[in-house]
Amino acid sequence: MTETTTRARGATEMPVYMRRNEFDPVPELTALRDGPRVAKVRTAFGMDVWAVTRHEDVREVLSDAGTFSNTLGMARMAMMDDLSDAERARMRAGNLLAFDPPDHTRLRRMLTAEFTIRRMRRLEPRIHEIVDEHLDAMEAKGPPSDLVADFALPVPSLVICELLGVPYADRDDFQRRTGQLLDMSLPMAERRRVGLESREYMATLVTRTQADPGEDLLGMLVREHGDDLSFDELAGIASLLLIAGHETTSNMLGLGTLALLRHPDQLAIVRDDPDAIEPAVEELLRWLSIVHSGTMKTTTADTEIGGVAIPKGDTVLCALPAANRDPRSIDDPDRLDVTRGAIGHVAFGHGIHHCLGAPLARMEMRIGFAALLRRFPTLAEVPGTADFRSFHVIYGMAKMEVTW
Amino acid sequence: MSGSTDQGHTEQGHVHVVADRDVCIGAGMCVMSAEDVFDQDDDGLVRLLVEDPADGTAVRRAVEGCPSGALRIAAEQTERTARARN
Repeated sequence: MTETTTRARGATEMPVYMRRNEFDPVPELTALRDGPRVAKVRTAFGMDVWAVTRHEDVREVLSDAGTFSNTLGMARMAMMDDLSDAERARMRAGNLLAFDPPDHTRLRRMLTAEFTIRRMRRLEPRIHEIVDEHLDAMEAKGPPSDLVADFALPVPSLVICELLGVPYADRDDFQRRTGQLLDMSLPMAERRRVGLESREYMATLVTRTQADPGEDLLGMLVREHGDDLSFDELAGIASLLLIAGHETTSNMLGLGTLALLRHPDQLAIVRDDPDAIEPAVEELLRWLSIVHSGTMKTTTADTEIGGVAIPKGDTVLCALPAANRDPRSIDDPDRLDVTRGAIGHVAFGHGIHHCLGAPLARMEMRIGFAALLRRFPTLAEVPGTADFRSFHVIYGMAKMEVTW
Repeated sequence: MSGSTDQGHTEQGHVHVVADRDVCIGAGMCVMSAEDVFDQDDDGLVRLLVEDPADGTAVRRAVEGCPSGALRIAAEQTERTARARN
C-alpha cells in the first residue's frame, strides 16, 4: 500500500514519532530529541500532543502514573469515537493500559503470577517444540519462505493461544482482527467495528471457560478471580493479552531477523555463541523499538519535563525509538552491537505499565532467533521482498522472503 | 516488605537493598539482573534472598532497572563508613 492511499483511507498523516527509515527513527524525530527535547507534535488523528524524546525524560514520565494518567489519556482518545458511555466502559473493561492505580494494580496483581521468570522457564520446552515444528515445516517445504507467515507470526501466536486457552484453529480470524485493530491507516469506524467483533469473540470464549475452566490462563482467572472480575473484564483481559502476545513478538522476530541478516558480523555472533543470545535480544529490542510510543497520557496537574512546562490536562506521548537511541544514555546509539548487554532500554516501557509479557517475549525471542539461525546457517534475504509495515501501532514486517 | 534499616553490619562493597512489595508489579527484571539476590514469590512479587548482597554492581543494575521503583539501596557501606561504625 502506498502512503497516499493510506492517508486517503485512514488517519490523515503519518506522525513524526511513527516514521522510520527502515530500522531507524527519522532524522526529524532525533532532531526533536537533540534540540527542543519535548515538543508538540501532531498525532495521526490531528490532535497536538507533547512528544517526550530523551531516555531520561521518558523514564521520568513513565515512572509517574500520578501525574501522567493513562485513564485520562484513554478518555481523551475515546472522545473521538461515537460510542455511548456505557459502550465505552464495556470496551475499556479489563484493559490494563486504560487504568491508573488502584484500578490498574487490582488487575495487574491477578496476572503477575502467570508471567514470572520461573513460570516462563516451565514453558520453555513447549516453546522449543513450537519453534522446531515451524522450522521443520519450512525445511520440508524448501526455500524461499515468507519468514513472517511461516515463522515470525505463527510461533508467538501459537504460544499465546496455548497460554491463554484460545483455540489456535480460530487464528485466521483473530490474526486478521488484530492486524486491523492496530492498523492506523484504517478509518476509526472500521477499527471500532473490528474491536467490537473481537470483544464478541472473546465473550464466547469467556462463556465457554466459565462453564468449564481449564488449566490455561483464562481458566485460572475464572477459577481464582471469577468472583471479583466481571464478564467484561475477563473478556477485556483476554483480548489485550491475545493482541499484545502475538503482534509484538512476531514483529520483533521478523524485523530482528532482517536486522541481523543486514549485519552479518552481528548475525554470526548470535548464531555461533550460545551465550550471545541474551544480550543480543536486549540490543535488538533497543535498536528496533517496535512500539513507537506508549499509550497517550494526560497530565493531572501543571508539570514540567526536561525544563519544558506542560499544563494540566495536556496529552503526552513517549517516543520510544528516540529514547532508546539517546546518545546521552548509550554510546554510539545508532550502531547495532549485540554484545552491549545493556538492559536499560525502554522498549518494554517503564513504570507500572511495563510490559506484563516481557519475560515471555524474551524467552520466545531467545529460543526463536537462536534456533532459526542454527537451523539455516546460510539464511539470506531474498532481495526486494522485505516489506516494512509502517502505518501501524507496532512497527514491523508485513512480509519478508528468505532463502537458505 | 523488608523492615530492615541500614544499621546491619555489612562488609566492604556490600549493599543493603530494600524491596517494597506494595509497589512491586512483578516484572521480574530484578531476577534477570541478579538472580542470587532476588526471586519472585507465588504471586510474582519480589522476594529478597539476601539483604546485604556482595555483588553491588548487579544489584545497582536491578535497582536502576526496576520498572515500578520498588527497589532501593538503603545504605552503601564503603570501607570507611564500615570502619567508622566498627
